[in-house]
Amino acid sequence: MRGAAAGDRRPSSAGHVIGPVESLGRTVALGTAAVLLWAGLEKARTPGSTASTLRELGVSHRWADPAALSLVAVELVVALSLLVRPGGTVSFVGVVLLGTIFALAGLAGVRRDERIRCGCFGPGHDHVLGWTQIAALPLWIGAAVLARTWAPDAIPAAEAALSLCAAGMLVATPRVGILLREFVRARGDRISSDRMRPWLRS
Amino acid sequence: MVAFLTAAVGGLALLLFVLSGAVVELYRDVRQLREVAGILDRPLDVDLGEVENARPSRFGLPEALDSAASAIVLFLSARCGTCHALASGLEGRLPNRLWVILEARSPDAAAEFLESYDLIPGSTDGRLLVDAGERIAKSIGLDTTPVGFRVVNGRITSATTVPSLRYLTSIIPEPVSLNPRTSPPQPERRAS
Repeated sequence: MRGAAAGDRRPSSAGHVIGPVESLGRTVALGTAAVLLWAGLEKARTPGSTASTLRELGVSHRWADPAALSLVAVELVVALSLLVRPGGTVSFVGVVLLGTIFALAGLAGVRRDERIRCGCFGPGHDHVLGWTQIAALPLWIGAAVLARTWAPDAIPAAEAALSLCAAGMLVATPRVGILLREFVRARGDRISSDRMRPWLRS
Repeated sequence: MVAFLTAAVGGLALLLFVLSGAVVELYRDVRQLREVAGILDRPLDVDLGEVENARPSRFGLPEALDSAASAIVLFLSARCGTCHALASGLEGRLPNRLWVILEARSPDAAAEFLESYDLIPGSTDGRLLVDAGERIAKSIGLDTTPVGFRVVNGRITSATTVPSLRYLTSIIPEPVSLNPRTSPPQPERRAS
């Protein structure tokens, strides 16, 4: 089936025409890579937040920091692997492994009485571990299977660079929108503070 | 070369993502600090005393307010800095249910203030009044500006200082009305 859909497992050459099935497989891989890049880079910026979540999940204080860094590394490696070798074994195993880890963390969150902050996409979100991570497992597995089945094992360097560029744009564009919204809000706060000063002095 | 540059653009986009995330977090930290310091939109309640539940026209305010379901009467002064900021933020027009009373020492000072912020009494449905000589403010006993008086069902119910345009926007009443989906029943016609 895999061979029928994506041809054989030979690396995609620079000159070959990409069919709709392969395009879909590569799009799925690109989207999955963007999600993992977002999560991994946000966790890399504030690894302490991820370590804190791991401690709440029962990981010992000694191992929480290394485990957090390992999780970040795995997320980023799998993301880059999806961009360079979308149908490769590392990408497939990595996505399934991460999806399973997230689902197990969600399961632990459901079984605990207290709410465990997720920190899945960095410290700026209030999500908690629970059913969302469990429900996402089929999506992770589905994405891994689709990329494995329809995307080529490896793609040419030029296309991999283009994929990295597209993934970068995918994660950076919404973030710039968030930044602008926060800027406008902060500007409003600053104006309000300026106007409050006379009141506070009196 | 093209592949390298493309990858570099992707790398820079990811760097932008990380750095903008840090800036977003910084903005949120500053907001937390401002909230803790209590310097964001902190209004102060004004003790109304005998003015509470009185009809607005008793103090020289427009009689139309006596029949208003809900309104805010904002007192501005030509001498107060926050009042200038509020007037500037109105951008030459008054939101519905907002009445503005401008306190000024003289008609000239009032005209200069209104002209500065494109506020024209004729284009505000009579909801902009100039209180030259501060006659209305004195009859209410008001010596602070900017202050907003809430009028509900033709009575003055409460008053608060108005520290910012954002706060002013938040206190202007927005009535919620029913939106019946069915037409009202028609009266039956009787055969004569």
